[in-house]
Amino acid sequence: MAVAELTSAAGAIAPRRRRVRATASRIGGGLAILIPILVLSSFITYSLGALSNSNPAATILGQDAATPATVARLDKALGLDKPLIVQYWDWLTQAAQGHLGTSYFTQIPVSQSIAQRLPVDLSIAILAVILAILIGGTAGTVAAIRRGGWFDRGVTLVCSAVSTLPAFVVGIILVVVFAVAWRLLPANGYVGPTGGIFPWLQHIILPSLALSLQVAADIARQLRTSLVAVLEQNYIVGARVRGLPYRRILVRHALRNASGPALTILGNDFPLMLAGAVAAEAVFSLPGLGQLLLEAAQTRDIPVVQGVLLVVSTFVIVVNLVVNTVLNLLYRSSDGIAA
Amino acid sequence: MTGNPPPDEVLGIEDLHITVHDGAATAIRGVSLSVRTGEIVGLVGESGSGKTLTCRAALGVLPPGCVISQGTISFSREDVTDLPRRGWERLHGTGMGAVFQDPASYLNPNLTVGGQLAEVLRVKQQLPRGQAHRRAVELFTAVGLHDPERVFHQIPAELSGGMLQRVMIAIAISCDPRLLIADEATTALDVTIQAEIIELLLDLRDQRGLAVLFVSHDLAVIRELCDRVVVFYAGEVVETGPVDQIIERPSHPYTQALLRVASVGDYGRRELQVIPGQPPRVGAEIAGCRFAERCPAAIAACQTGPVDLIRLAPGHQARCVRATDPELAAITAAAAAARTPQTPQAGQAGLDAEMAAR
Ligand code: SF4
Repeated sequence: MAVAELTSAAGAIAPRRRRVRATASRIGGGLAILIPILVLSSFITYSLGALSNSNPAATILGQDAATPATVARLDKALGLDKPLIVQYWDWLTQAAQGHLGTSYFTQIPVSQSIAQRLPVDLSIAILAVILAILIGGTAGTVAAIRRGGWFDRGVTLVCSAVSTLPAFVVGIILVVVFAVAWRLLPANGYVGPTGGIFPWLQHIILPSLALSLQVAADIARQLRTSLVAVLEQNYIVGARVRGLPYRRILVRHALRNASGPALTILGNDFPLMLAGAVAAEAVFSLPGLGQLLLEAAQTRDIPVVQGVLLVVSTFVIVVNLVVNTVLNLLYRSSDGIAA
Repeated sequence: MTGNPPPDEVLGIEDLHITVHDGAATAIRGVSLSVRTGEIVGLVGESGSGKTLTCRAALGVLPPGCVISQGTISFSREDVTDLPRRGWERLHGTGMGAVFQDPASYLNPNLTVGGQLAEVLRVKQQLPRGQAHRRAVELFTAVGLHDPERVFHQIPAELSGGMLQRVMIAIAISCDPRLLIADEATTALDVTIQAEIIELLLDLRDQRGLAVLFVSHDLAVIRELCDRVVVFYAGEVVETGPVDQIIERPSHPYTQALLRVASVGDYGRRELQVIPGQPPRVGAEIAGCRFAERCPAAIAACQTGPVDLIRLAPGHQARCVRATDPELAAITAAAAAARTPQTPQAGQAGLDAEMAAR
């Protein structure tokens, strides 16, 4: 329908400017919807924490010291005596400025603990996405080009095997093989990039790999399917009879048009990867957000739980926005996705 | 067949056999034809007769499962039958270009048409970006597109069929090829646009000496455009000759029927509908003439063995045992007259066969 819109407006503006505007307005629309989604999701997270039936003051004070009087005093100090919506509003306005409150127990600001741990997960997640695209993209492409061949069948087999394995199982296997048996890589721990690029990579490669494999399998399968469909399209024959080199046709015409569904999968799998990251952190004993969240949840350290969830859900929403924007840029025509 | 090809031959096909479905059936049997510089050769026949497959073979882009099992294809007297991919990449664009029915599907739906033309110029002629853009706009002007600067930035979905076919022609001739293969290039267009495209092809021939292999099931279009005609039936050439001779003195009963259809058929949809019966299935093994089942003039001799092309005049040949029989035309005319008020049927079956062949 976007095309119909464009054609009807054809009279006035030049096509290129029209298309730039259409893209800009779609991205703008995406950004505009980002705010309400963030507010809504943050409200849900906040309420879940606040309504979790825990008694923060009692938790903080401990069983013995928790007399009704002390609890009431602490509630007042924490603002917990106000109505939920007011609490939420206070929290949100603070959060918007980067203040997520302080831990009930350690008194460390939540944003500070998150800032400490976020780089760990960010490193792993970014490397995992890169690995998933590299591994899945290559496997899917080669399988599609040599469809029916041994590589294609092998990829199909490996993909279905891998997708049944949760990230932590893959993680354990990787640790056993690379760290224990071959002693090539450290089995656990984390060194930030400031400690040197190579040690940093050494520490994040195994968890990233464990996280990426399932997504890589999904990407490979989807890309294979859509690439096979695209390669059968007439415009590939059209590009061939124009005398374009094979590799150019494959990359600029076939892969470009076939990548959309795989990209969508990547976007959809991203929350799954975050969930896997929590497990991977445990396997590789990494000081990441997942560990922070688990500990906080066990001790009912509500501000930490709320802060971490807010950060994580923001990431998920932003990643989805980015994926949708890239899709819009790739597919200018509404019938662009051939598969 | 003719021994040495003429020096100005651009495309030469000699005794071409193509098997489909991984060799399960032979769809093209012994097709020979040639196109010379500045010549427009028409390929006529029902859907499924092998016209498209022959074009695909000449372009080196046979669909999967289709193989040249016998015969040769030469381009500018160079044998290209077993040309490797690199060789075809060199030849495509600079040596030969192609346009097809349904031009929209032959263009990348997500790239601007100008970008796709400029891409060819940049890759094949190493033009820098700006120059490729300017040249693309020139080419769009040359093929009669109005407001070429604007068309440049449009994607295929934003253009009409006629405009897209002009875009395709602009892309096909962008690197000054010697041969243009046009496979049903005007079929889906309405009559005025069709006439304009024909005019454009004639201009290109006159200005650049372009050789054109023009495929159509529409004899009326062929008559306006072509110098010579090759008539296909069930994977064989049944008649070939100069266009006036074929139109005025068709010597094969199939051509005669085809012409009758062209003269009585409605202008919009001249699919061959009035010849009763259906062409044989792709790959059917038939001892004699492949048209015998539908031929009103068939005699016993027709089915005893393979029928060869018979020379009737210089450059005019027909594959019919009765081609020289003076009564032949009268017999087929009488047969046609006897069933004039008939419901058209046959076309669809042919179409199905073509789909199956793909
Ligand atoms: S060979 Fe016989 S059957 Fe075939 S076209 Fe000629 S007359 Fe008809």
